[in-house]
Amino acid sequence: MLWITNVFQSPQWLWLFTALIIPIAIHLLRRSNPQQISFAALQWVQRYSQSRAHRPIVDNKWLLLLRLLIVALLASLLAQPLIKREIYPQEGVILLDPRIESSEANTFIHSSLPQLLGEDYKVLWLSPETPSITAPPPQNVDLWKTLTQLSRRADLRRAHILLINNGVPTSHQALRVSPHWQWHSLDKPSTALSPVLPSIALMGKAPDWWAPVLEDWHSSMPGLSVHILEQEEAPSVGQTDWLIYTDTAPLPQALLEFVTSGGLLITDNSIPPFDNLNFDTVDNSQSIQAASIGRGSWLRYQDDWHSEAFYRRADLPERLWQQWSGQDWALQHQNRGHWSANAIGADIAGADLPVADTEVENRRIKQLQPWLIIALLLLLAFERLIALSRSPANMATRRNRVASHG
Amino acid sequence: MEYLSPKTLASCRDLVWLSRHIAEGVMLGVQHSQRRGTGLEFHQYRGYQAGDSIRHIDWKLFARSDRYFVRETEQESRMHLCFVLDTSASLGQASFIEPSLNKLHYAKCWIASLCWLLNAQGDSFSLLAFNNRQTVYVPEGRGEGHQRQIALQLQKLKASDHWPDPSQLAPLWQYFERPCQVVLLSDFFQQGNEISDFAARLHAAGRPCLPLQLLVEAEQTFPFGGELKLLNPEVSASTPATLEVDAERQRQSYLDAFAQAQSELKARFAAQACSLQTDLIEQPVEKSLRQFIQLHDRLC
Repeated sequence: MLWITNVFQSPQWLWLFTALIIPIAIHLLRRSNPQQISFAALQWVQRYSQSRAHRPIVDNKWLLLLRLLIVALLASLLAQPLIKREIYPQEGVILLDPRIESSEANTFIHSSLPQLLGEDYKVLWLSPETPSITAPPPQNVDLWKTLTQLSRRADLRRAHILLINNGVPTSHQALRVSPHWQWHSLDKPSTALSPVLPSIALMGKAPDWWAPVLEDWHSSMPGLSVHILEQEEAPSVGQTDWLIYTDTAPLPQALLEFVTSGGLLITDNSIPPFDNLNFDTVDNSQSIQAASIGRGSWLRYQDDWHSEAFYRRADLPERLWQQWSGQDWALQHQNRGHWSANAIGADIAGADLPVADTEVENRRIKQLQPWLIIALLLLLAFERLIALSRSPANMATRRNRVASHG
Repeated sequence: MEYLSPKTLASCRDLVWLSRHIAEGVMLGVQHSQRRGTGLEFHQYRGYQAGDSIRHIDWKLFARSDRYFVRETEQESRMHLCFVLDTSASLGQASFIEPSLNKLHYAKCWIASLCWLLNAQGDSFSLLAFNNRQTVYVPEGRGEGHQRQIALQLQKLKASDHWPDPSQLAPLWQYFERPCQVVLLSDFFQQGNEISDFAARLHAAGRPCLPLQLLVEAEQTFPFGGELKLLNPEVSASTPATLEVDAERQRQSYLDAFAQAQSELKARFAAQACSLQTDLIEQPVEKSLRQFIQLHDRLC
C-alpha cells in the first residue's frame, strides 16, 4: 500500500471512488423500457430491420462515461495525485561562492575551465535557491549548510563548485557532498581569523590541578589571559568572561551581579545551589549542572574539585575547556571553526560524507491540481451540453408516450 | 377564414354541425365558380308565382309580353358519388401531434363535409365503409335527410381488422352496378396491392375512382428518438405485431422505404389517369377538400 501514499497526497479521500457506482446506478435505474407506440406504417420499418434492435445495458453511454469521469476526477482532485518527473544531472553548471565577484568568476572560468566554454554552461550562486549569476549575489549564505543541502539535488550532481580560498565557517553538522562535484578554488589573500579567547579570572585559592591545566592551555592557546581576583574585588563582564570561584559559601553578591550581566561563573559543590534556580545537567553527566541567571550562567560541579576522582585524568585540560567553552554561547559563536577550500580537496574530502547516487531523489514531485480542475470544468460543460442536447429527443419520445396512451 | 384546428376537429363530436361548418368554409370560395354554367340548361318558361325569386324572371320576355315569366332550367344529369371508406385498423392511427385525432375521424369529417357540398348541388351520394368483418352501406340518395343519415352512419364507424380478402370483396361489387363516381378514402397501407387493385378494377368497370390517402405526419417524417416498441395495429402474416427498434438508426431506412412505396403507389394511380391525393390529418379539412375539388373539377 506504500505506492498509494507515493501517488496520492491525501489517500484518505480515495474512498470517494466508490461514488462511481452512483451514476451507474442512476443510469441503470432510469433505463426505461422501450416506449410502446402504435404505428400503422410498421411494414416499412420491418422491411429494413434485419435484426432486432440490440438493446444496450445502459442508455446514453457517453453521458454515463462523462459522469463517471467527473466523479473520478472529483475524487482524485481531493486525493491530490502526484506525478514524478525524472531529473538528469546537468553537466555545465558552476556553483559560485557568493563572496566572489562575477567578473572574477568569469576570468577564472576562461582560464581554468576552458572545456566548459564550448558548451552551454550555467553559472549559479551557491545558495539554497541557486539564483542565476545575473541576479544580485545572495547575502549571508552558510556555505556548509548550503553545500550539504545541494548535495541532494539531482540536477546539481555534476556541478563545478567554485569557492573562495579563505576561511569558510564550519557547522556542527557533517558536510554532505556529491562525489561527482568538481572543486575549484579562487585564491584571495586575506588575513586568517585568529580565534577569540575568553579572559579567565580565578577568585579564591587555586586548586592543585589549576597550574598544570593553565600550562596546557597556554601551550595550545597562546595569548590566553588569566588573572587572579581578590575576594573583595568586583568582577566586571567587560574584563572577565569566565570566573572560577573556589572560595567558600556564601556566594558574594558581586559575583551574582557579574553572572546576571552576562558572565560565566564556575564553581564546585562547595557552593550550594539557590532554591529558585533551575539547574540542568550538562551533557547527560550527573557530575555537572548549569543554570542560567540573567544574561549569564552558572556552571556547577557536583564533585569536589579537590578530590582525586575529579582531576586524576589525562584529558582534564581538554575536558574542562570543552565543558566551559560549551557554556559560553557568545564565544562559541565567535569561534566557529573555519575551513578553507584548499582543505576540502585534501582533508575534508576524506572527512565529509558523500551522498550516494542511490540516495538522491532524481524524480521531482509535481502536483496536478490545476490541470484536474480545468479538466473537471471542461467535463462538466460537456456533460451539460450532451444532457441538454438530448432533451428534444426526450420530448419526442414523451410525445410518443402521450400518443400511445391517447 | 380560419381553418378548424386539428384539436377542434378531434374534440367536436357533432359531425353534422362540424361538416356544415367546414362545407360553408369551402363554399365561400368555390360556390359560384363551381355552380355557374355547369349542369344548367334552359328547360321552359312558366308563369311567375309568388315566392319565385325575381332574379329568375326573364325581363326581355316581360318587355315583349308585359307578363312575368320565370326561366326554368334543369340539370343535365345528376351525379352519383359513392364514398368508399376503408375502416381497417390502420385507419385508427392517431396523430402524434394531436393524439385525440385519428385518420378515421378525419375521413368522417371529410366525407360529411363533401356531402354538404354535394347536397347543395343536388347530387346524390352513397356510402360504403368496410373492413373484413363489417360492411356499412348507405344507398344512393340526396337531400338533407339522406345526408344526416350518412353522418349518423359515419359516426358509428370504428377502425378494426383489415382490408377484406378478394372473396369477401365479391359481394360488395353489387353496390357499384349503377354508374357512379367513387371516392376512395384509405391510407393505402397494403400488403400486396389489394387496395390499388380494387381501385383499378373499379376504374376498369367505368366507375372512376378518385383516391384520397390519409397519413399522419409522423409516417412521413418518423420523428421518434430512442428505443421504441412499435405496435402494429393491423397484424398480418407478413408484418409482426410488435417490433423493437432504435428509432434514430431506423429513420433513414424507413424514410427511404416509405418514400419508395409512396412513389410506386402514385405511379399506379397515375397510370389510371386519376391522381392520388395524399393528405396529412394534421392539415385542415377545408384545405384538403378544396384541393380535392380543384384536382377533380368534374366532381362539382
